[in-house]
Amino acid sequence: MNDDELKGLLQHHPSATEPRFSAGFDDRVMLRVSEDTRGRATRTLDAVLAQYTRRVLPALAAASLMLALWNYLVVRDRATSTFGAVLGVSGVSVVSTASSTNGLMNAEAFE
Amino acid sequence: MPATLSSVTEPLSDAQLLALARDGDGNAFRQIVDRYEPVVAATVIGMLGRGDDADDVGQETFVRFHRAIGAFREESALKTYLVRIAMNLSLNALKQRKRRGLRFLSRDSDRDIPVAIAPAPDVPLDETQERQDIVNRAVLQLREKHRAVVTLRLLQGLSVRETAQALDIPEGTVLSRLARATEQLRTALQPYIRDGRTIEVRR
Repeated sequence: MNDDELKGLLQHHPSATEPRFSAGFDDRVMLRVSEDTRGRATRTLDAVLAQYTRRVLPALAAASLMLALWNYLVVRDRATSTFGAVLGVSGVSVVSTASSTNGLMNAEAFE
Repeated sequence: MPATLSSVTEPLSDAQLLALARDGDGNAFRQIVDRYEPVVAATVIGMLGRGDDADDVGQETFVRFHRAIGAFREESALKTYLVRIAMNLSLNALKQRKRRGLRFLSRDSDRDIPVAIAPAPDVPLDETQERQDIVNRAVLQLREKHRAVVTLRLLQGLSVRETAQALDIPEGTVLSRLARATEQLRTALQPYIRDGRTIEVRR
């Protein structure tokens, strides 16, 4: 059997005689392509958000730490607790309340 | 105003269809699918045989191509490019099948595992179908690397160079694998041969 004879025999192969998938193949492909495109768009948005978060998160954490340290240093003498100092919340007393009220109401004018 | 597929009646060239498809023209991409379905089908069916797996791999071929359509620079022919995707996906599918331990596959690509011959179908076939079945089983008995060369070179009629490009192997390797594969096919088909060309169906 020579090469040409073999090629002739191979013409009986299904892929040589019926080179098509089952009916509606193009519709199935277009559906898959549409799903794939939508899926990739969602994944792209997720990836952008994740990348942005990864970039911004360290800066935010550093800024928060610096603010907490600043608060603590400034307010620690007037704060009732360390946590309060970190948050920048000083202790409340009658004197401080009256003082701030006077300030708000322009105490000097009343005097 | 740029041409759209709906405004053109003559068949567009591959380059024109690609340009439209890159701009998001779904009809242009559908036409590419329709035009190259036979090429992809011949590759996939040649490697996997007919069935749902082959259909899935065929669909996946075009999905992958759609993803890469922006990067496709037309340095190689679209046909060769699609055949290459289809062949790679077919080989992956064969590996998956092997992992699942399906027995109706042909032999392992790297090791000499005994040939697993596809069983003859239970339903009665007419003569044409029976000839197809005989040749199909002979091709499926080949090792994957030999089957790939036979599928592209002998069944699809690609040139040696195109076959080498699609498989990413040297042309000399194509020729040596082809020689080995044709020898095996001759041996497998010899019992069915009458007057050199016809496949004799025993009834």
